Amino acid sequence: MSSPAPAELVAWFRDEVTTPRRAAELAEWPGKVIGTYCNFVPEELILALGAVPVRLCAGDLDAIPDGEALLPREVCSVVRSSAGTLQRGGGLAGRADLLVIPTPCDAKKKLGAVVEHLKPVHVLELPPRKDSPAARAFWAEQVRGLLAALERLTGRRLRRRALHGAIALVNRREEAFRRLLRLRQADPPALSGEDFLFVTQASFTADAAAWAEHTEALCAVLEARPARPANGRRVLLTGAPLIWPNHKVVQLLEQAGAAVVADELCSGTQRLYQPVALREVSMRALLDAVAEKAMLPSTCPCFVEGGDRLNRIVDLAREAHVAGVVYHSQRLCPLFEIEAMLVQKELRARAIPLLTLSTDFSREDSGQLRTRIDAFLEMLGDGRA
Amino acid sequence: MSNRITITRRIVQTVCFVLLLYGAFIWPAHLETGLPRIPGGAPRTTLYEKGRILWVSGKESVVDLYIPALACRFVARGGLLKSCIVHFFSENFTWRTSFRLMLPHILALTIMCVLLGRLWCGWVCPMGAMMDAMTWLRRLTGRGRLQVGEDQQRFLFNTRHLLLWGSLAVSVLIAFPVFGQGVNDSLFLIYCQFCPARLLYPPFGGVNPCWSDTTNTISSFLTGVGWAMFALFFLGFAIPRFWCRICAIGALVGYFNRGALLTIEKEPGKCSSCGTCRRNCPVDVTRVYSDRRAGVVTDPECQLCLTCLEDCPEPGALELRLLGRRIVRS
Repeated sequence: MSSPAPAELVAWFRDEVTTPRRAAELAEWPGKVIGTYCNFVPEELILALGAVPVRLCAGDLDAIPDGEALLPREVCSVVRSSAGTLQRGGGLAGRADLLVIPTPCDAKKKLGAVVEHLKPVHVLELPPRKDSPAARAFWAEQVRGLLAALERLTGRRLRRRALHGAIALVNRREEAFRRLLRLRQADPPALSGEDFLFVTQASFTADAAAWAEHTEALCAVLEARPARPANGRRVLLTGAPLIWPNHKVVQLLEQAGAAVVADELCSGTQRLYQPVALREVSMRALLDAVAEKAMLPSTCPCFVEGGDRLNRIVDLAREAHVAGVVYHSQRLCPLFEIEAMLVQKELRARAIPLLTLSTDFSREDSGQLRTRIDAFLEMLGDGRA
Repeated sequence: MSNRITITRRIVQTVCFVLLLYGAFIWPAHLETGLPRIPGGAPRTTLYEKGRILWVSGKESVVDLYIPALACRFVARGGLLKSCIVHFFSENFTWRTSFRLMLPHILALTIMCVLLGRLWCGWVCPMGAMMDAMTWLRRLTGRGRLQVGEDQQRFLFNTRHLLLWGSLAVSVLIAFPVFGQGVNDSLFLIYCQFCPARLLYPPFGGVNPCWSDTTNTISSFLTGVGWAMFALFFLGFAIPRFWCRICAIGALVGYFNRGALLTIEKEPGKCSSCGTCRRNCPVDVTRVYSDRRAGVVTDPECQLCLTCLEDCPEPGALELRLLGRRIVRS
């Protein structure tokens, strides 16, 4: 039995991310499309109301000039690119009926204000500290506010059964996702770090059930495939999100011979990692569970508490047997730049090698980054103990 | 999501329920005990007459064993086991039973508590099983639970310790004839007099418990308290394991929970702070979530139902250990 080439296996996911397939599908679809930013938006609510969530966080360098018509240059690439995508119109961003924008940072806090002439915007406010009684009450209120806005837009009332079904659907997606995570983390990894990002980012826009089916099928194929020889040093990638087409850092790493076997990115592992485990099934309990899941386990550096991310990085590094950690720091994002220093302190104390790359969407620094990556991998050794 | 633990627990609870309430129907054995006995059916004093709260239906229990869960003297035909730990101390304090006779029981109870902590509440106690059944029924209807605030939680927590120590104190005091004989009688086994199990268990065996005792002012008052507690029991429909939050047995066994050999342990490095353990805990324990140090996170209120461990999405973040040996992990 010949095993299909890796590129074929993830073709469906890659096409979802890189081609206008989904935009074409949704162009003819009569329902509502909700554009979301960040993982803080509880997609269960959108799905339960029969609408389609599409995460619009952008990684497109070419959209940045359009974004600069709306935002100053001192704003990070992600937000400028996201604003630019909206300014340009067309595609999924153009199709969205409502934008739901959480407020993890100053740029996203104001993103709504600069694009509200283009699209209706609902700002989903995050508390500065994620786990205090006041923060939980505030967030529960915010999620209910979002629900009210979605109900107004769709003209539907959220039914308990529908929400229950949506939670089950998202849990199914999460289960397939964790299965894939284990495969990527295996030694040798069953798929590359970049392919994993394609699979993950396909879930930004794809129909949830279709994504789950394709991922389950992909896992089945990968599990049946004979292990390929190990290649390169195993590294853990963390820091700011890498969103297609800005796969620069992961591409440079893998071209240099590293294997990204684990990540702690909100466009990667964090995206579908958390399930919702239910005991109570009243509407209130379902909403609380969905709200908690969207915020409490978040490792976004926007919160006062930073321990969860450090915990997670250290645990992943140990569990995935990585030789080193690469921190992708987003230029112009103080949150990630500050966190990079905290991570450095923590990892140094544990003698885990760390490479911090501070960059943005531009391709000009690729050569320089490549040199630093090569040096780092060389320092880690040749991959043979 | 796997629900192996819940299914196992439901089976254990059902078996224990049947054994503790119907054991004497299955094994009509005679009890050999050195301790003083409450003779059922043939009253020695007015205390055990039909029409008094402490009327005991049927026979003695099958096995001479007290457990730290709600086995009860008032079960039809005496039940399989003798009764609960609070009953044991109450009656033997009042009877001034010699320490020599009590010692084997105290040892057995200590071993049971130190070994398993409040696992008795979560897995063995028939009252607990009934509370769980109520929660299950409520969830079938899709209705939500009543939230218990931190202040209310503290109030209940304090109340149960007051009930425990108050009842034990009364049991000791009435051992001495300072109150006079009539008062003595009416305050005997004071905790049993208002424990809902006394009213709940007998009907399961087809026996009518004594619903009211108006012999004197004290027994009338305790009848009233008993009704109030019986009503509170049904709050279990709105609040998971409501009675367990008041139960004096739980309070007593809870003292052993943190030092018990059966422990829930946490590996904080694996915890993603998702809050599932806190949200799904039937008795609103927050320690499993909020404790960020490695090691034992068993709370005095924890009944080791293991819901947290079963629902925890992080493999290896929570573990149940007995004597340091892993039994099951998340």
